[in-house]
Amino acid sequence: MSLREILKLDKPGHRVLMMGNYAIARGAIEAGVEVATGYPGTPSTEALEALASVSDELGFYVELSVNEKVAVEVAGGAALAGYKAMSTMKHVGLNVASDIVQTLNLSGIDDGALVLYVADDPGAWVSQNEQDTRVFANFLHLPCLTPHRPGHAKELTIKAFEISKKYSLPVILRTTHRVSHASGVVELGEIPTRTMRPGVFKKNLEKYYLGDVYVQKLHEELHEKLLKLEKEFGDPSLHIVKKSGEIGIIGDGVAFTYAAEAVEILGAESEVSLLGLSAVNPLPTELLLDFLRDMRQVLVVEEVEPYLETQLKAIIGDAGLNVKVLGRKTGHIPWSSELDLELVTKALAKILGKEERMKKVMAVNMDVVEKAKKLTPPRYLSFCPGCPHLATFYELKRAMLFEHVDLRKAPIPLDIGCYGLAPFSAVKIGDISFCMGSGIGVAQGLEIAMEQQIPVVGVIGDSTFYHAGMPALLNAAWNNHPIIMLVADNRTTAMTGHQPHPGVPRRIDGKETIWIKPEDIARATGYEFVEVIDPYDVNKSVETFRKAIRYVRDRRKPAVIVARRECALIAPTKPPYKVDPDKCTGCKVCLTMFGCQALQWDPSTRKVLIRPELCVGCGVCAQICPFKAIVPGGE
Amino acid sequence: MGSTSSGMNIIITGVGGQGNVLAARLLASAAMKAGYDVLVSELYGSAQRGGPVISYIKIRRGRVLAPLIMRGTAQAAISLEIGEILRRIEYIAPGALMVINDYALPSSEVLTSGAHYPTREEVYEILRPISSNVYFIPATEIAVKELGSARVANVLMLGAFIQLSKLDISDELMLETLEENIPARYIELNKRAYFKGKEIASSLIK
Repeated sequence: MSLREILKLDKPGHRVLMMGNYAIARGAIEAGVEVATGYPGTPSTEALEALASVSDELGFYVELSVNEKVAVEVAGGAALAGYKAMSTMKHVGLNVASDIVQTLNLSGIDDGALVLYVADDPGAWVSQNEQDTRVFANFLHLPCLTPHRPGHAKELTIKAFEISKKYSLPVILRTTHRVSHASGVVELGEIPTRTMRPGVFKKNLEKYYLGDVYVQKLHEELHEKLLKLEKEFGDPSLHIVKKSGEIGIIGDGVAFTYAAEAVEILGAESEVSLLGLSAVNPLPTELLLDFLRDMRQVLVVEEVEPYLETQLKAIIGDAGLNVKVLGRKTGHIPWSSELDLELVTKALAKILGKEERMKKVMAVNMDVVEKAKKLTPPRYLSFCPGCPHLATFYELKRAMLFEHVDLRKAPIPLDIGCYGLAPFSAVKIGDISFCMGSGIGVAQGLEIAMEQQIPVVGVIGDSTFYHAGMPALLNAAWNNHPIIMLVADNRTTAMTGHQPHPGVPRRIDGKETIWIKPEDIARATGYEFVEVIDPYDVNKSVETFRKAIRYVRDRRKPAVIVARRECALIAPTKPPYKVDPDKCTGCKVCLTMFGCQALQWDPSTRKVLIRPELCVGCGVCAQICPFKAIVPGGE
Repeated sequence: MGSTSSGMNIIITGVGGQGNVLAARLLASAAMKAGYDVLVSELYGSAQRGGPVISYIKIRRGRVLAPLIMRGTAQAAISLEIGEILRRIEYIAPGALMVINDYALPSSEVLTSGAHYPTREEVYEILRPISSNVYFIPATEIAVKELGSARVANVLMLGAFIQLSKLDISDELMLETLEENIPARYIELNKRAYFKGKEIASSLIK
């Protein structure tokens, strides 16, 4: 069965292997979702994609919105008219969406439902930070559910819709990487029959006009709702409770599962009691106290911040209990990175004095490991073979060198996307990477402070441009910041797995729509220098960058360059190029200045060779080779 | 903690673009059909291609509690690239089954610096003190030469692994899994790769 068939399969009790994100999509379908919106962001993206793949057949609406704030506004609007709505995003997406969420919590959503699926990335494997959405949920005054594995994620998605409707409050479903991207066994439930009945918006200024006239009352009501939710979350059947010895472990999400397995590994079932929470805001105080009263000490296992740890101390203090809380503040759990089975087992082994037993299970031959590490080849992130971004950066750097730009001084802020790999490529370019849209915004402030002859080049991707780059683009025009804005347009949201965006005339459900071009937006906002280049055309691209540098220096006005070429992973490939060994001098210019992964050094011949299984036939290296030694392969 | 039919911890190592994640899900899905509980977790960086990738697959007759494994507890490893097994060596348990694609994909760091890339003999020397249960299979080479596509090297390796492991996963379940997870036009190619892998592996068993 394909994923689409599984998502549509109305066969309760049937068990399938599903990624957490697909399980969440399935949960939304079983809960009767009517509108789903979102913006791609690892590790959340597949949920929205999965929903889009079956929305037509199952009869609900899905859109990939321009950013998370718009996504929540669209979903929230539908919920206000009584629909069951969902918005999906990664942890930092909630930062963007937070403005609207900080009002929907007060207004409520009448008798609709709104679930915000937010996926965290402890360890920041694919993010700019490690941010804990549970802390944000607390600040947003929203109920927060924390599943610990894919099957559980499906169940809690359904629960989130129920709670949202019952309390007329948006609900946050918070996962981490190891739930969203893990695959596990999921038991299917029923798919409700769906009739997209027309929604009804019941006018009520007292609820929906947020301002000093009505808002204090809404704030009070929100806290009343939270008190009721605390009781609701006190239901033990919602959580995992295993009472045994006086040493307790309290945790949530995947972190709790590490603790559960650690107990098994250490054979400590009779000594350790477990409390795995599925709802962490508001915290179920009574349930916690029931557990804590029988404990001497409690290890708190959670990702990313000591969220439970801090609140537990307050609960223990209020109740006058004598329970020692162990966790980050006692050094048992580290302050950064994701947790894992070994780390949690180690923490527990230390508390139980079972370090020896743990060592026996972990039969690591350190001698061998040392030897292996010495021989392990370095392998960092790099651009895919044929990546148009790599060509773009090569050309930008060439142009800067030709125009005598001091590369040691000229700042090049990057943005969030594949092009952010530039500093780690052979081209070695790019200095800053913060958040969505900042590549253009930060460039403007730098420009104010820099010498005039140093051009500041702000780099942004295509999806990022629409998401958060446009306000910065307007700002540069209106305040006249003479920077070069490079829009690296590969016609897709590549890093999250090739979702469309407004620069592609196709919606996430495959339907045709309009193509909104960055260059048209730039021209409409008054930019005079707007050029589109094809990064696969090396000389012309270098020439255009040089023109832009001269324009910004001479005219003191901002310039926009759109480097447009489809991502090499989705564009049709051409026959691979090859190296003519008679012409290759072994100068390594292609390797050291450009460094496409398909180019390799052959130590036996001391010449370059092209790996045909990697080469996509873009031809950029052939244009770069000073000796014209790279030629089309022809087969 | 031997590799028995009661389940095992398996890691799959390789380089982004080699089909590591798919191989992990295929294996787990077939194991689930065979009645095991499974959890799969993988790690890949921001790049679509070229970065190191590791998948952790936990298969149990009982319930799998958590994803990820401790060091020294993987009873089996599949490496889709010859150097990548070294990066994850601390996970491998003594006596573990290791099935390694005899295919080197030197990173650009190695290529531009001219650094040495580990050979098959060097890799074997390092692994030998941990386990003698090590098999090198020229999966990519065979996939290119005999099947016409390097992309099915992952499924070929999977076939070899299932042949060499003691997991109770039948061909029937594996083929059903391929049909469910691979686009229709590539199914035949992948089935051939799977059986090719099994065939090569059975010729290696002494």
